[in-house]
Amino acid sequence: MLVITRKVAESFIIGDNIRINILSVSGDKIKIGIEAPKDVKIMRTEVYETICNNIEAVTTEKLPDLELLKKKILKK
Amino acid sequence: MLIKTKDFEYIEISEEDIISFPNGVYGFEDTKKFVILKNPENIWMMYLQSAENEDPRFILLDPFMIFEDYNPLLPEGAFELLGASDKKDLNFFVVTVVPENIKDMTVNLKSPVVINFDKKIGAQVILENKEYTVRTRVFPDEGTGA
Repeated sequence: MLVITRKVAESFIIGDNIRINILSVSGDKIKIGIEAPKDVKIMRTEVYETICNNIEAVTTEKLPDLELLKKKILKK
Repeated sequence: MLIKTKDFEYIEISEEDIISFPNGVYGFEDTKKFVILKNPENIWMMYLQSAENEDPRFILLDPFMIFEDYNPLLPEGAFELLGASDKKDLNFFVVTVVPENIKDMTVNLKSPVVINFDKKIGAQVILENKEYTVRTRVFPDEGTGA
C-alpha cells in the first residue's frame, strides 16, 4: 500500500482526473473532499462491502444449518 | 393480498404485515416494502421478503442468539428514520450468506436490518461499531476456512 502524509489544506491526485483534498482533522475524524468525474463511484468501504454482501445474500438458495446453529446456541 | 415469494410460492399477507423501508436496503434501494416470514421450525431464522417481487429476499438471523454480547451502536439519524426514541423499540436482525459449505456461513454484524415493529418501519443500518465486520463467520472453529 502506498502511504502519503499530508497536512490540512493539502491534496493529492489519483490518475489524471481525481483529486483528494484534506479539509480538516478533529480528533479521530478526518474530513476529505473528493473531486472526481461523475461516473466514478465513490462510497464508504462499509457501504460497498454491504452492497456486495447483500447481492450475494439474495442469491443464497441454501439455508443455514439449523442443527449446527442449535448446537452453537445451546452450548451457551 | 397475494405475494410471490422466493421460497414459498404464493403467500397471502395483509396490508398490516408490510414493513416499509424508506431507503430500501443497500444494493436494493428501490425495494421499499418487505414482509417478515417466520420459519416455524426455527425461531432464530426468518425471511425478509420483498412484498412486491420474488427478489430480493434475505435470510435473517437473530444476532443476540448467536453473539450474546452483540451491542449495536446506531449512527446519527437512525432513530429518527426508524421513528424510535430508544433501542428497546427496535429489533435487530443480521443478513446471512450461506455458501456451498454451510459451515462457512457468515452474518453481517456491521450492517444489521433494524425494524421498529410498532411503526412498521425498517432500515439496513451501518453501525458505528468498529469491531464488527460485514462477513463474520458463525462457526469460526469449523468449515474449510475458505
